[in-house]
Amino acid sequence: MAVALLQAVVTGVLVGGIYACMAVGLSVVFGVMNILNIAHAAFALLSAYLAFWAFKLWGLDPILSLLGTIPILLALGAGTYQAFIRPIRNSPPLMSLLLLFGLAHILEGGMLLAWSGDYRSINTSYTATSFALGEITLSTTRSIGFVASALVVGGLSLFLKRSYLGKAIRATMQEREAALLMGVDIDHVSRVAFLLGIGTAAVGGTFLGLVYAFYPYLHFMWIGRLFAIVVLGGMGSVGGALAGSIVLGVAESVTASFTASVWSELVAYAILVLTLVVRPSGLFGRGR
Amino acid sequence: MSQPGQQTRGQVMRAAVGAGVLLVLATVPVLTSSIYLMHVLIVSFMFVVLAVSWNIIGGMAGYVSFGHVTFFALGAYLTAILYRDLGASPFLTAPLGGILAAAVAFFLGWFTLRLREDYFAIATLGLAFIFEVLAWNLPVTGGGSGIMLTAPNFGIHLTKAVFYLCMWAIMVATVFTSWAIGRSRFGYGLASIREDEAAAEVVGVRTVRLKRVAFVLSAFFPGVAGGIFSYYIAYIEPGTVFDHSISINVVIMSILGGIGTTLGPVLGAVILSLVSEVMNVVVVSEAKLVVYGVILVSAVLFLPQGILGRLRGAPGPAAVAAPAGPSQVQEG
Repeated sequence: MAVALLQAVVTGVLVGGIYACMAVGLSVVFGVMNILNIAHAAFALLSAYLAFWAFKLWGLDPILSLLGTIPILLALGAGTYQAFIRPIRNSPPLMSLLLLFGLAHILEGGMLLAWSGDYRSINTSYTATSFALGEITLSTTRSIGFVASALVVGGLSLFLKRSYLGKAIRATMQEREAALLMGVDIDHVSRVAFLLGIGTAAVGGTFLGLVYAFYPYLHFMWIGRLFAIVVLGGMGSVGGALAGSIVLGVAESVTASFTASVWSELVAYAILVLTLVVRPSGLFGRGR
Repeated sequence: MSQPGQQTRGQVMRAAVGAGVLLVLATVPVLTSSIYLMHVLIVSFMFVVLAVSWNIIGGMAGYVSFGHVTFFALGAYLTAILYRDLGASPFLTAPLGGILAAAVAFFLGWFTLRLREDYFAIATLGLAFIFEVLAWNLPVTGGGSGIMLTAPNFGIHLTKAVFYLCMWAIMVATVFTSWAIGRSRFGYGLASIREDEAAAEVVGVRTVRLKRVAFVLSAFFPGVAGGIFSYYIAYIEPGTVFDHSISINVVIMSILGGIGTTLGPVLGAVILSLVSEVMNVVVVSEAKLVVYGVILVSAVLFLPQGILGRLRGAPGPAAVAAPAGPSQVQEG
């Protein structure tokens, strides 16, 4: 019992780490632009499909193919920002929400056309393997995903803390008007933030695709989880997104271990709804 | 700007034309023997119901819901279950489907409507998934194998005509309710919430209560339509009634036609139903999502006030994209 619980918690932390990679990006975009990128997970899923293709067609390992998929996704993200996000950046948040909802459907339909609605998975030589650590076992793919995500999140927070651009991003997140008056180029900061978000989606999506089977509609499940995480952690809070990811990963994993797996699908939405009822500003959010 | 309840000559004219068109539509089963035409119109009417009802909360109050399909599905499942277990005719139990959907909306609205608009949108998306997962997994819904109904048989033409008139009646009720709200004190209250909720609260509009009433009303009509729909297609399963393209379609219809008005969603629903019907013939079904997405994105970018708004001479996208306030000092 105790071992089973420990096993579930460890597995949950590993998956939560991959969630964190995507959630942090989503949170930064929200913090800077006050835009909820509902297409975030669709970009993530697209990179999983690209990794699938690279592996299927050329036998490229997903970790290696990230070198190609990240630039592709960033180019796509830059185009999206320029063509769709920038023109409506001063419109009410509702308009951007609707626009990104439409964009999510375009991406989903595109993936459906390109790869059909079948379940796909990336079956590398180490996919089903695991290694033992005392009494618990660690899945290889989940561990790799966790380490990679930790590197991305660590790098991102270092960038936000240390670099000039990172400071400008944080300043914009805290007080947009003041940042503007201090000479921050909001347009540039917004573009960088949006691309950072897409970058995290590319990495997180690839590793989720390495761990689980996927199909085009799945991005709505992923975005549901990511929303639950950023709402729980507090919108626009990077630390909150990190904490929320681990909480959700563990809660899902524990639920899946001790009940029918159906209920673990509902955990994210239960957390989302409960947070919205009890504390809409989230664990680390500032009051609204 | 006219006062609530007061009528201008133009408004009376428009209402009369609208009523005339609806009455003519009621005679279609007598005029045509085409089963196909009636089917297309039944589906179009259903989407008019869904879009116009969505617009009550999403357009008039500005609280966009991405889970409108939930209420439709609740109605569909309730009547199907009552039919299967008690043999009750969906023609009689469809209003119960509406009441169930309204009750669920009342409960959900109790906490989600205290939130900001974008939080509300996410919450409705999440709730739609919760209900979908329940439909797949609860024993009472039959899970993935769904529920079979035996459609009534009065002869092919008469059967279609009965369903046609049922859907027509629900559509008339929905459109009339929306039209009446738009001209009432309640409707002006919703508009004040959409324009500036904080200001509305300050001048004494009971925002939470108005939003809750709007949400309950917007849930009732799809519930009734869902109840009739399940009898019409005689077989429901989660994939059909929780089809998430319904949720995006109602949003597109409202935006495309003109969000916040009654005529706009009607216009949008008719146009999109026709587009969808044409696409059934012209493109592979996988491409439909892409087309819907492109329509929504283009509508937001180029036609934010909808076709109706453009016809009435609303400002173009450039003027809408630059609201007053401190954000005007943005980067150029």
